[in-house]
Amino acid sequence: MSSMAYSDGFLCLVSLWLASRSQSPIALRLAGTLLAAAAVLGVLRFSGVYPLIGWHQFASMLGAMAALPLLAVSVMWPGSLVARNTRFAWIFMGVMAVLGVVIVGAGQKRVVADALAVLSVVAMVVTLARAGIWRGALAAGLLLAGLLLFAAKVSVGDMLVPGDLLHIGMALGLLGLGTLPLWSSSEGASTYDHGAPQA
Amino acid sequence: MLNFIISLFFKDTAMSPYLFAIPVFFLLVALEMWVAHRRGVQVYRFQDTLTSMNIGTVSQFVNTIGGAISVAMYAILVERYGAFTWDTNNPLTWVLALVLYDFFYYWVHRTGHEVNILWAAHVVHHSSEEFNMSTAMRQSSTGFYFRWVFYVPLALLGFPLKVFVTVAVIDLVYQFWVHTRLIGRLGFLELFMVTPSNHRVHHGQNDYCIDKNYGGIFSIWDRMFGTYADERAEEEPMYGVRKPLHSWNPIWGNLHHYVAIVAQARATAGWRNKLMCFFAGPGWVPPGASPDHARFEADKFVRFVTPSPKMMNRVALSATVIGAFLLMYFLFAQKGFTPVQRFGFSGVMVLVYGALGYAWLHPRVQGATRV
Repeated sequence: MSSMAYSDGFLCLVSLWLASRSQSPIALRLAGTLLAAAAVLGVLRFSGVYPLIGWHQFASMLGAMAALPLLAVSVMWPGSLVARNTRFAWIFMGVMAVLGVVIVGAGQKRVVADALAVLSVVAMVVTLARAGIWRGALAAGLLLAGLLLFAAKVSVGDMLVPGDLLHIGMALGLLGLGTLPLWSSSEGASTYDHGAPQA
Repeated sequence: MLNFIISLFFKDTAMSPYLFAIPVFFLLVALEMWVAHRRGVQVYRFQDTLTSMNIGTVSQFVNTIGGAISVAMYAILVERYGAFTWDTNNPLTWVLALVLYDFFYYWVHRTGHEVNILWAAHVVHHSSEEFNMSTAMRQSSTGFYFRWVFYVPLALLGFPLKVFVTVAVIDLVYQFWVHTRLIGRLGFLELFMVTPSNHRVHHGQNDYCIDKNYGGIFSIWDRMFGTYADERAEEEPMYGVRKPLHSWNPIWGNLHHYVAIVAQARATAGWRNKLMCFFAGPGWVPPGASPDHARFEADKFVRFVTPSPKMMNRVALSATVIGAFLLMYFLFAQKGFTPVQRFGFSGVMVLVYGALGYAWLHPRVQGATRV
């Protein structure tokens, strides 16, 4: 069994935790659901139990095109319609997913999904750092590190392949982001007005 | 046998299945007119019927291009991401594909009613204030841009393109015959099938009819998701939409609600509310504004009727008949056309019907004002 089955399993658990938190905004929960779906398919693929390679690639593309931008919107504008309103979160996810299907699925421009994923995470790092939310910035930084190490095809000895680093970086990043108090206020829109999250 | 029939439409020289369906549709319309005449009931009005047919013809011309994009998307996705291989000699493959297609159709149809910008594409189908088989021809010319998205799961499951296209055609063709007022309730079929009775409810604008009965072939989806309503003997549905089209123009019929949404968004303050104009339900109004079509009052409903001079009727009837034949020629010969010729042919036909619809309401052509 490949090590990626375990690291994807870890990512799956964290994503499911994110998706199941009732106090999180809907966008965060949707993002968690999408990433969990991709991770489950990854576990099935890398464990050899039931390899649905096409589905895993498709779900990963949705993760990059829709889940990470949803996460970015939730972090950058915690009180926005997309972050908090179910209808608009679904619409945002749907539009991004359609763009992904057209650009990446049909057009084979994988680079667009990769660029969008990195951009989304960079935006989160910058937003959280500027607001002085260092724990959040660190979590987003871990996400970014996972993406960049994967893109650079970095391995850690024989133990961890690039895919593992992507999964672990993302899982740790999501774990950190999920525990931020950004969304605890009823509106959330003024979270960054005071330079620090409201209690 | 099944594969032989399907192969007729998928060889290099294949023809559009609609080439065969169109004459059957016209025959069924004629049959319904005859039966209605025998029973002494009026279910057809001249302008409404021709407008329905013209909208159908325009949609076929447009969808030879728009539909091709959807089919191409499906073909690419099934090739890249399709997970399973399906035996097309096994009838169960076809049955399963049809049931799944109908399930996704339910959601296409439901979002087409419950999201304003998608309703803009579908409203043309509901714009007739009559309910007869010609109403089934009122198909959207703009729905192709979003409909294919709902069927991506079928591509992921790996159903071959020919299975997908075939069940799509079956689903659409099935829905033709349920557009009639001449067939009553159909006993136990009402429990799980879409029938004329429960589809009449779908086309009604009475309060109990709104956002009900979205199924294509099976009504089980409506029962599962709480959108089923039975026809009420004591309250016959009044057909049409609450913001009536008031036009015989196929182009305007397809575009009028897009124009209305943009106008509403421009007149609405705030980004949140502007977005709501596009993505909320069709009945949504900004906070503080009074809903202008909140309740339906059957006694105040007036059908759209305009004077119809004989000369204009002859011209319109000729244009409709000639257009239908030109459409059949187009569907027959289109594989030999270049893309420019396809665009050109379709574009001219759409403009001709637009001009006809415009002329019909022009006071100088009518020689009278509206009644």
